[in-house]
Amino acid sequence: MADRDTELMLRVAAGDEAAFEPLVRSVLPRLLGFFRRLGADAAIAEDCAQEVLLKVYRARAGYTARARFTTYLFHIARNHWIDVYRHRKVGPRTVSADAFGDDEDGRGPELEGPSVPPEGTMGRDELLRALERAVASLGEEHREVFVLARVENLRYQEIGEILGIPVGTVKSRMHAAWRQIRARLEAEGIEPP
Amino acid sequence: MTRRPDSHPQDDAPQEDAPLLDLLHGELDADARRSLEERIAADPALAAQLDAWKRLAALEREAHVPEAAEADAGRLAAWIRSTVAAEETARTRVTFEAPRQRGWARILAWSVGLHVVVLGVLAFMMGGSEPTREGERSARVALEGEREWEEAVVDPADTALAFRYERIRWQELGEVGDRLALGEAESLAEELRPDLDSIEDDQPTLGAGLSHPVGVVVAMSRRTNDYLKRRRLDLLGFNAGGTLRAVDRGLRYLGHKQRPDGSFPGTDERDAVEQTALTLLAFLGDGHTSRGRKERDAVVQRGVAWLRGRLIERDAGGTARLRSDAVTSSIATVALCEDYMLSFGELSTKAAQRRAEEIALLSERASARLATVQGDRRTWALWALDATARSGVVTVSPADRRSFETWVAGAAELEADTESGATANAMATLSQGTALLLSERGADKPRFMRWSRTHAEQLVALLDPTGRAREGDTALILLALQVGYRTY
Repeated sequence: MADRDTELMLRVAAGDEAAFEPLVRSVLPRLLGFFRRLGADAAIAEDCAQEVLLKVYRARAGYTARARFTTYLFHIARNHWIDVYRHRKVGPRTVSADAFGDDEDGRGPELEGPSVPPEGTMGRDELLRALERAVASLGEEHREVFVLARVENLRYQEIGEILGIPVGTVKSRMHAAWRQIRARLEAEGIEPP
Repeated sequence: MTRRPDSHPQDDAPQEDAPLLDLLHGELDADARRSLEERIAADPALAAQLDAWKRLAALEREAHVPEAAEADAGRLAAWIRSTVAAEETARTRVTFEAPRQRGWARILAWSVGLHVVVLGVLAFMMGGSEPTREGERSARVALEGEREWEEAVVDPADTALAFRYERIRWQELGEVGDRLALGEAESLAEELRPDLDSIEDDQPTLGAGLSHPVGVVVAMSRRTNDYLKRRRLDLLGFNAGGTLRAVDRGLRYLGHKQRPDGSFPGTDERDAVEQTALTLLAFLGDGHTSRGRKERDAVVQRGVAWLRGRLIERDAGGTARLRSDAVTSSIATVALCEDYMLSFGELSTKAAQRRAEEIALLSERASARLATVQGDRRTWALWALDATARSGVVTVSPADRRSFETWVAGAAELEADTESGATANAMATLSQGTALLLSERGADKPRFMRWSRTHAEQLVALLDPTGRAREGDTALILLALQVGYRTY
């Protein structure tokens, strides 16, 4: 039986426009998370998510449920990231005044803190930021596998389909990603509580 | 052994903890899982390893994942549906109207056709009336030749003169550009004929007086008609296609940044007012108004409503007064003036009066600040005065007029400064371009064209593929790019 997102997309493909909004509501946060964890700031993540959903809607008539909708979606998302950002070498971590839109209170983008916090002052927030930095420091291939698995909760099989690589490669990249993250945290003197 | 091209050295390293990580992800089959759990139970070191990975994984789960607001999802879905619907409609129309024509032949046909219909409609509209001024006569002549057309588009005041005494209501003329682009010149002319016959001399117009509407018509046509925009940008030496695409991307990006209340994000209250006004100006620069019916018109509508509500309040008797000291009233004045000018033909008399009153209030504040502010803020204060004068809402005092002219002269002397940041260069382009276009210093126009050529590509390059300025200030950069066809 198809999952809810796949069902919604099938309805959209059949011409039910009302199904598109709940579909966007369901997948938008995950798309944003995907692009954020790949290194985009909030503004760029929003733009990327918007473009991906635009592509999905444009191609709605040709959609068939060969796999879960999520697999289809993140295949497009991943290709979009490659096309627009990775290949064109656009710096995804640019911080600009325009990024003020990222936070509702309008305080502006957070500036990155020091990579090594003062000893003994590591709070929960700092710990999480250190972890985010560690994820961000992964190479592209490891990071996209890691993000798809951890943020999107996709199975290795699905990740392999999205990235076009064998499951064994997904697995080895995932293992390597974890080790690099841990090594980076240890290098900063951090151990998870 | 040959390593697969998609693998990394560390991926192939011995992986003692690999089964633990697979267990963590639920990727072990039942047998492997049972076997591993038995090993873990018998080996405290292995159990400790697993605990360490679990702690790290739990921490990683906590890491921030942004979530879209409910309203954002709804707005985005609506925007996507309307965008794709427009694309699909346009595709259907092109397929239907231009079957099997070669590209060059179609372009040539369109070009010739447009020139013919433009001249035809102009001839029709001008027929029967006598030139009353030398300036009017020259403006008419200017519209008839390519070289002269260049002069006409560079100086909108001349173009406006060509229309002034033709007794055409601007509401009809506002549609001319779109109608011509659709090849509807003949039907347009037929529709206009009864109106032309019925309009009386010196018919009073709201707010601006007789000379205003024709200028607005020129501006509106040029801002909304791609052909006219391209033509003008070509003449100024811009890469027209690249510029228009960049502006379109930028507007799309900015449109998505609008908050549900109509404002645009800023660092604080004052900055939010400035950002909202600047962003609205970018939309107005492409002819979108609070009275239009398209998606981008709705952006302006929400933004203008927010600005008016934020800056102005009315008592029970309907009397307006400024709500705060409105330190950013200048930019807001320019934005509200432009929207008023571009949309007042659609406003009721009462609504137009209300808006004119509000603009006058804001303008007073801008005028009061003129003596005390410097730099970019002085520029905006001067523009605010000029905008209110052009809208016919406020008469500018001779002293303020002199200030404006002095500023124009100073802005015209600006030179390219490649060392400055994006914001400074965008502001300089905007200042000089606008100053020269507003001034009657014809000798400075070639300089502006050189300046434009230098900066247009740089400005386009400042926007990333999504339309967002890499160094911020997207709205300001769009405004600088629009100088070529903004016209006032």
